[in-house]
Amino acid sequence: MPVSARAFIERALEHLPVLRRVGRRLTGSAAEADDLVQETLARALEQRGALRETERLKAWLLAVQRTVYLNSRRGLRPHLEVLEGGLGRALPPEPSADLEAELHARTLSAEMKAALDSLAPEWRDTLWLREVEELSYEEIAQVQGCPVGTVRSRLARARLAMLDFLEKEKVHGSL
Amino acid sequence: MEACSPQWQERLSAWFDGEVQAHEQQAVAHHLSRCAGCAREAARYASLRQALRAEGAAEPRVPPELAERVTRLAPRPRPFFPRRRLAAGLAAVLASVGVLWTSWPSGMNEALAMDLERHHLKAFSRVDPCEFESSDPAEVKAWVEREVGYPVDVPVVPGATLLGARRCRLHGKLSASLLYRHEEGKAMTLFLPLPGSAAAQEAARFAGDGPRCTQGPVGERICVLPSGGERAALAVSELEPAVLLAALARLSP
Ligand SMILES: [Zn+2]
Repeated sequence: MPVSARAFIERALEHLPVLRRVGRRLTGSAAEADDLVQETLARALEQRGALRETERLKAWLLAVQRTVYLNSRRGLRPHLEVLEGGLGRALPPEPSADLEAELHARTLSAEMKAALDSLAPEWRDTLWLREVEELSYEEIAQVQGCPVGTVRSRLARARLAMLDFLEKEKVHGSL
Repeated sequence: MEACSPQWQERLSAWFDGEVQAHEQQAVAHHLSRCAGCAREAARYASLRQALRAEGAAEPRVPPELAERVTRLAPRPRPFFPRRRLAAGLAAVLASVGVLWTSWPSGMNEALAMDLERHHLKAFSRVDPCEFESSDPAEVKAWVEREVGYPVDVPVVPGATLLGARRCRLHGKLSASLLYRHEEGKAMTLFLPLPGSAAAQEAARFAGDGPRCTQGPVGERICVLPSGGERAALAVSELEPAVLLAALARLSP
């Protein structure tokens, strides 16, 4: 017997920040990320019976989010958004407080962003899930749908590439 | 294993993550105690981790609207009656007026039910639920017909205000939805899928001969009014099915 919808959503709310952070990396926009998060939780709610007791909710939700995202990209149902952005309607502007925080973050860490952007997307995601979201290798493998060995090698390579990039930037900066 | 080889880098990186076996753990720690190069490498991993976590912490906070949208996915608790008794009571009342009521799962196509509830909840979780805003049925009708390309009826519903309309997709097909708000502030969406479309067929099949209501998988109420052939209109809301049916009844046959 799965937990009640209410109880499930209450537990899931705790993971909104993670889903949103990762969603923003997947979609590249805050508004789309929010739609993705809502869609993810709607799917998760339906499928909550499939969550094993030993599984961490965070990793499971991230795996659901990835599936929802990929399906929406492939044009499969369910659609992420009714129609916005699809038929010539501009996305709603982001709230200004959000924008401010974002600008702040952007200037603070333009270098880190550039370094992350220089990585292959799978490497970048793997690194992010490990370092920021603190998922285990097994959880990352589940989220990304790849073997644990792949996670391991991606992380090693992503770290080296990031450090190389940042090092070079530093040299340029000081010249 | 030779230091600086890709295998060694991988091992060091996994060690740093605490993802190696106990014996490997010792071997790496032992190596680090004697090799300044690898110790420096591990320290670089640590500062990278720190920088990335700072990056994560600098992300904008979750807006309350999103938490609200997500919370609305769970059915509101109905505190006055135990759910089953309520459902049974409701079923009896509706049966007395010739309407079939079923709780979920009800045999309604699940993808369709989810689409309906999502569009409804998503629209009303926005500050501006409508794409086109007007309380004038003629204006709304003109906009909808231009956007979806088929004729629709925009009824006046007693006790409810017409807010406007949105386009949506049901079973992947462009479809019309009309948004209303009832006196107590409760939201209602009428869906008018293209006659003969997959969504209209599914809905008509579900309803059979008469109007039929069900609880959707997310907990909203969904009523279907078939109008012959492969035509049907649907209403979604947390309101009582009788209210939904009254609204659907305002559509011209
Ligand atoms: Zn060494």
